[in-house]
Amino acid sequence: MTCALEVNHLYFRYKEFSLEDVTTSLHLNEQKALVGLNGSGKTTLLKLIVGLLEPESGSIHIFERKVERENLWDIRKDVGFLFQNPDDQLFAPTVWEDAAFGPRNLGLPPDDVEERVEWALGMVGMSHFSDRPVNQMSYGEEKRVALAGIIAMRPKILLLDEPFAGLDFPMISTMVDIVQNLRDEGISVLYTTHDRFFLENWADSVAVLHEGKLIYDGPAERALQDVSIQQQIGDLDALGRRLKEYRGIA
Amino acid sequence: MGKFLLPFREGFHAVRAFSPTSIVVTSFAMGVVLSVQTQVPILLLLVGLILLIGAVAGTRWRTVLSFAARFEIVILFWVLLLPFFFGSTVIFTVPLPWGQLLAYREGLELGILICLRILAIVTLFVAALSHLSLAEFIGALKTLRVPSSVLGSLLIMLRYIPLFIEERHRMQEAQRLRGFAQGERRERIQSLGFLVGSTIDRAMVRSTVVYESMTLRGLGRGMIAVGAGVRKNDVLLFLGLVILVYVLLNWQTLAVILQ
Repeated sequence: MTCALEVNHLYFRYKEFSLEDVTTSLHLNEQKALVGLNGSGKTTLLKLIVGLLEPESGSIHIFERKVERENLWDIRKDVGFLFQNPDDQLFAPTVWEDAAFGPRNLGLPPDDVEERVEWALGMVGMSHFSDRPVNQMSYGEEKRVALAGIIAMRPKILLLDEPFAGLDFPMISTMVDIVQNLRDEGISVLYTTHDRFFLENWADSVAVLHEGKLIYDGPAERALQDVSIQQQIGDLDALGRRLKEYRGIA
Repeated sequence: MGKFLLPFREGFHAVRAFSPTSIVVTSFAMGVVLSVQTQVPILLLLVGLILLIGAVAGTRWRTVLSFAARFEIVILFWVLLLPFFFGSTVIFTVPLPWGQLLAYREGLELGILICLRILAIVTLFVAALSHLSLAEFIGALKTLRVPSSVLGSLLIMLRYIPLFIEERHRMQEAQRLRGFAQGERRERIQSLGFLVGSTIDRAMVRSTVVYESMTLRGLGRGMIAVGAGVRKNDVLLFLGLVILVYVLLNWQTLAVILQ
């Protein structure tokens, strides 16, 4: 299978935190979950992939091109990164302007920019919000607009940092549909989560990080059977039993 | 949900007689006219004219004036302090343990003049901005060839300063819920110090992430906004301004002749 993304023996250190010998890959049109507890290095790994951070050693390849300082812009045309907090991403006066920011920077003519923005806003179901100021939306709407700003650049790989954090059920359902539609267009997706549900039901494969080390990289089904990995993901059944005990039901 | 720093009209497209660029340029020119006025009656007349035009144009005066009122400290500063520092004609004295404090007529008049100028200019600009959306304002600046780097910084400032204020407000609320008011004065001062420190720290972190996210989408590689263009009707706006300047110039000439 063709690799969209390859991470080879990656080392990174910042103060007390370090990523050690991380090797993983993302195949074309694959959807991979990057799982781990808080502080395990999930977001750091995503930032290394898009070149926001530089590794100490090791390498990252996007479609067989090594991620280096010299070719960062070319790499970033192919990789879209959705931040966890949409407030960190939306800065333009209106939804339309924010979605147009990336395509304009790609140097596209105005007609193409407009076509891309319409397409992106349509994909996330926010076309009717195009004139809305970015500060007048709910958290879920902000998240969708932030995603529109990314996909308007037509990336081939999407990195989603906790895409469902803080969303209510209808919005989660909408986000799932949006990402599925993007996958139908051939986009590969790497997303971080610490929610067992999205690992079990949404991922083709799983990479598990624990204290900066990759402890598992493979199919989701096998990950869920491994006790040491279950500890990283969290055993919801055990938690449910404990809660029942507290309430005197068990 | 945070608001933008200035009282912009929400939304993006608007059907109106004048282009955003002409509104910005005319306001700036009018601001210059106001800043060179040396006579209080003329300034008052111009303030009245601004209020009248605003009323005709449907300016949200409540919003505009409440925003302009935030400058009252600056305005009061001039009126209250200038009489004690400038002039020669004493109007009253304030006895103090170490001597007398003299207030001068010329200082008071200058203070009032400066106050009126500030008030008029602030009201004028805020009223003008209240007729524009942020997108139109940025578009107008783009048409006026303001560099993209400046526009980018301006956008970030207008968008994120209210967010920082909101965050500080939330932290203050959290402090109050945990008995901030019950603490001793020393503890309260210390808590305020922590609050300021945390706000600055968060602002730094947020700025870094915003910059990162903009970099990922190619900051500095293209346009940050599209220009706002001009319309035929803008001629009327500029014509009105020219007539006003002409009248003012002649008025002052007449006053000199009469004296």
